[in-house]
Amino acid sequence: MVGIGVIMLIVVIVGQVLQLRGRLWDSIWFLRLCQLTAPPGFFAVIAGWITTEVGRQPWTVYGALRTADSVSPSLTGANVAWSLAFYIIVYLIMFPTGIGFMASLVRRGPQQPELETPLDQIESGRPHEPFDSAARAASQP
Amino acid sequence: MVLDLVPLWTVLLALAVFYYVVFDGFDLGVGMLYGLVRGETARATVMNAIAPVWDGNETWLIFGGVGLLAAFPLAFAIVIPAVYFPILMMLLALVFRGVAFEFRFKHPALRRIWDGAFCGGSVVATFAQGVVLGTFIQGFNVKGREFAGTSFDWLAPFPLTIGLALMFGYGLLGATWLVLKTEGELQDWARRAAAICLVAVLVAIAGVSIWTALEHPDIARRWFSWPNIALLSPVPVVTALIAIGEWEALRRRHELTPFLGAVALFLMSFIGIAISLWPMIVPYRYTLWQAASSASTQAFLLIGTLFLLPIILMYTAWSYWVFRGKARGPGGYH
Repeated sequence: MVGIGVIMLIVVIVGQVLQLRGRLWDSIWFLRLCQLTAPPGFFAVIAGWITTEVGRQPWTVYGALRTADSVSPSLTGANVAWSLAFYIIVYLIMFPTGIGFMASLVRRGPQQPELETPLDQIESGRPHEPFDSAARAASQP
Repeated sequence: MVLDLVPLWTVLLALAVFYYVVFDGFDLGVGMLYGLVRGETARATVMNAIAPVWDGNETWLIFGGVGLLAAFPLAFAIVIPAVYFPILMMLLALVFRGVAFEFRFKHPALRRIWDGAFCGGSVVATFAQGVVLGTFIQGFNVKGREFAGTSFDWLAPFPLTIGLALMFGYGLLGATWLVLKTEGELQDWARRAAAICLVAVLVAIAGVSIWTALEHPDIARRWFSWPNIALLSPVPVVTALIAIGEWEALRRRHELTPFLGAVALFLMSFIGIAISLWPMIVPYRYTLWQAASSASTQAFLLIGTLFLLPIILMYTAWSYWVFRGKARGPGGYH
């Protein structure tokens, strides 16, 4: 987890250096690197939580209260099993939906703003949107 | 001189819970009414009436819950296991509702599923909150310092009825919020929905008050014995006056006063419950002082809270100010 965190920090610093040099958008190797460092963040978080929750056993309060003693008296194993099952069901719905949605966004790619009339068909008249005139100005020699 | 912080923390938590009930009440209410609205534009408008502000409203639930844990840990330890499943259901329902907000706008293909998630999530979350309140009023089976009941004590007539009653209560808050934030046909529909919910809420307030007094002779004695009956009579009288005022406000097509009236009805109900249960934080076994954490703990928590609370209130007020005015059509927020 800590290793992943350090790697992510290095990626950020490298990105900052590239930006200062003006080469951020052109460095394909860096963009690939960003792609690769997207998932490790999740692993880092989960690894961290597992470390915390497993590592502190058998204590709830280190040295003072054991986990076995801190369980609510009314809570049975079946209760907890049911709640875990509900959480799993909800996550099994949410995560694939979210990832599927993100994937479809990525597949669609960045959206270009669409001009209502293509530039070459505008013959005269006042531009009705600011970027029309800017686009026209840009297309004039 | 040592200041007793227990009353201060009681007030803070009471305000947090009241704030949560009013603010998440209206957006859960709008969520429940959403299922009854027909037409794509109308539905989008309804969503937009709460879309900019709903996130922040839930944070008051966290403040109330964690504040209870930190300031009154004995109460937390006894109350929460008793309502384990209602709270679980509420949390999962809120997950669905929250996700439905965003995915509905951006994933049109599955819109009907997300509509169902939004409405169903709001219904389940509201019902669960009512059940928690009902279980709280019903009281807890306590042995020593532990909860001695089962995880299913909430499955009783009283809590389940309060769950249903709260659905109409939040429905009233949601409908009057829609009256404030929409116009035209949708606003008229919201007025009709508010009228129906108002009648249901009044029946619920009256019924629950009587039922509570019948189940708990101590509470009955507190309300009906002399001189309490004279001192406390303003509470039901004011409630009745507010109810009449609310009906008139809806009939006369006011915009803001219906929502304020609904909030006032919730306030009166809250005061009524507080009068009935004072000073119990674990009905009917432990008082606020018995369940409180140590003075140094409460002082420590208070410092952080008093620093952050004004900031939170300021940006909340600002966000409501920015998004004031009517919600018109599907555009504008996303």
